[in-house]
Amino acid sequence: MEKVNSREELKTLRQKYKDNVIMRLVSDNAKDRVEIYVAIGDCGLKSGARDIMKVIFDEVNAKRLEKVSVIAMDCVNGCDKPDAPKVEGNFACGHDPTVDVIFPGEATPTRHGKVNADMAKKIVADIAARLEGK
Amino acid sequence: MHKTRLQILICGGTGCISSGCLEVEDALVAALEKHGIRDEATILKVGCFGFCEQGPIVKIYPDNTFYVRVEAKDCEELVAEHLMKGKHVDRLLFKSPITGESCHHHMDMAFYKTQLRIALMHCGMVDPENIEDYIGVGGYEALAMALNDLSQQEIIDIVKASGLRGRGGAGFPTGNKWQFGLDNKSDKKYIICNADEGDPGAFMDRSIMEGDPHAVLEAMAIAGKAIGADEGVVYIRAEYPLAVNRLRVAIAQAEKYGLLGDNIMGSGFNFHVRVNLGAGAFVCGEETALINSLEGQRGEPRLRPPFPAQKGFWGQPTVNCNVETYACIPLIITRGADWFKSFGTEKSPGTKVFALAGKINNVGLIEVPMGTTLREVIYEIGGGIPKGKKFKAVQTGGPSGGCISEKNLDVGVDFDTLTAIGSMMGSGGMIVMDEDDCMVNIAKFYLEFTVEESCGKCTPCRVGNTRMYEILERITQGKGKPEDLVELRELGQTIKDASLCGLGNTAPNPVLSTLNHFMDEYEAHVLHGKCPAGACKDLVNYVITEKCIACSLCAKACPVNCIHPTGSETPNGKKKYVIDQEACIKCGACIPKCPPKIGAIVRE
Repeated sequence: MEKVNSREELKTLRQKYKDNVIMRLVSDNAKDRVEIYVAIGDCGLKSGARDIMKVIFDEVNAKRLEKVSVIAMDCVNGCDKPDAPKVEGNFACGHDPTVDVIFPGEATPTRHGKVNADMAKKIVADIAARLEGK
Repeated sequence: MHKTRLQILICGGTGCISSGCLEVEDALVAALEKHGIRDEATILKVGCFGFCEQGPIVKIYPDNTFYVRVEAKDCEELVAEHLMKGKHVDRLLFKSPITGESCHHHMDMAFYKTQLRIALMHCGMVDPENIEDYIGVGGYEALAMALNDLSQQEIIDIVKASGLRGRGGAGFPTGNKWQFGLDNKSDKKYIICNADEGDPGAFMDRSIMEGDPHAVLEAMAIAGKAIGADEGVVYIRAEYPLAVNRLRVAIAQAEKYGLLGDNIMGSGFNFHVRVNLGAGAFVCGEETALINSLEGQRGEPRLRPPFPAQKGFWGQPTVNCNVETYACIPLIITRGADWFKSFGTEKSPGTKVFALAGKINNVGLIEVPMGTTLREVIYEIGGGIPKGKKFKAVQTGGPSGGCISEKNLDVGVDFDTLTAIGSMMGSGGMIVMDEDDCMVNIAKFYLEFTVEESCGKCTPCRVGNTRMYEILERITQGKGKPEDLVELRELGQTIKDASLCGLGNTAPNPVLSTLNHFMDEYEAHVLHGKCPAGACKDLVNYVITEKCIACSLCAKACPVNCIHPTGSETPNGKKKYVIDQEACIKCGACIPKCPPKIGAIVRE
């Protein structure tokens, strides 16, 4: 246990322990964050989307992208509902692993289909570049 | 950066513990292990989320999913569906009572939408038993500022400029209190945190101490620096074991980190805090009685002046503030007085925490800007009155406060407006009553509380309140006389004028305010021997009318077997049922049993 001997040491500790709470702080202010959704429903699971989610999460972590949240979501095309219309050319569950990226203020997400590990890294790198560009 | 992909927060307040959150935690861990994803989630037990009606609450980050009324048996599905497959478990989501739609995010709920959390900012957000969380959200920075950047006078000037008023009830300007503490010179001074929360139905101080204990400790240290005190005491009732425990854990952690104790953050300033348990006497919430109790004497109030800031604990200058007041201080220091003043009303800046209870859909803990109307609090945040019943009154200020009727619902709540309409802020309890509540009975309930809690030092309070209680008892038994109503007013005013402390000064308030707003109910009892709400058992009879079809359902429901088939005959030759009035305990259990289309049982 570190003893805080000065204001600077408190600041250092705060930087360190911010990691504990940053997920909660950013999520509570959700309108300012970038959200990456990975479809890990039944079809996603079969296509290995959980591994892709892990790659994305690790990349976001490694790059310390504080304002980016990696969130799991259900199948994008309602494959569990047989009545749901299958849209040709759109990303059906057959295109899993599916990854959606939505920036603050955007109405619709950008959708990526058949994402592999390299593409996943590229998606995160693009987000990082776009955030830096701002 | 993130240690795990998910953070799962479980409400670990006293309310949710009693509704089973500890079992939920165990079941959640078991389910995560079963699915092999224990390493994907951090589970945290945090303080009160406020929506106690819907507890236990489980909140999942970063998804921002807010699950309500989660039981241990739900955890397997929650993990298998939500955490494994990204499918929200719809049946555990809160449903909007208006649209019926599921709310995923808590900010979609009417209960949270208009709330603004300052005192509760980190309650339900940080792990109260881990100082790292509090440091991570910027904790103890205000203390660092107070120790490094600000003089004693500058700290007090910020608090004065913020307009913060004591949240314990009286609304005394906190900055002025601290100024007296600084101006009264002495080698030894004390800081006290009044955590003797005693109003029936109030639990805001408990929740703050359970959910964010470090905010209170940090503020006490800042107050210590401001007036030159090196010792602080939290006076808390022993019936708050969880809050006591979390405070003790927090003090030990802060001392280990050098954020309390000797030479805090290398500044040379010393401040030690200890917890002192009280036996739960209501009068010990009064500051001079509290100090007596701390000194090992009977919890009886002292004459003021001298005020505690002049001669308080052990005869030394003492600043004594309420838990919620302290909880506002760190943010006022770091964000500034202007930030705090940007919320609330001109004379009562900031926010106030209220505990909503009684006949209201969303029972729980809320924080709103001062000036929010009672109507917004009760109908928007509180979700209105259950079962479509009609609103009758809201009681604020606990046993010291008064009842507010329908006509004042659009008053914006602050210290001065509530006093102007014959009630008071008090510590922030809000108990809602509907058409089934008898106001005479309610006044009697509160008076019974103060009669029991009176310390007995002053005759007007000790004897006067007892006499008032006896009159109310007579009235609710149908033995009241018209002159009783005059006597109640006279006694009440005398007790208010002639008692020493706040308990006696305010004890008659529930009676006086109901006399003002609900005179018709008193008159119905006294002049006509009737209780319009049907709550006073001595004035009510349950009777089975000729509509009875002799189905016997009421007789089966009667807990004292006082309903017998001894009446006239029904068309098909059965004996109608009759209630034996001598034996009836007037519980009303028979009424809902009678089929609605028959409706043979009436309350007279």
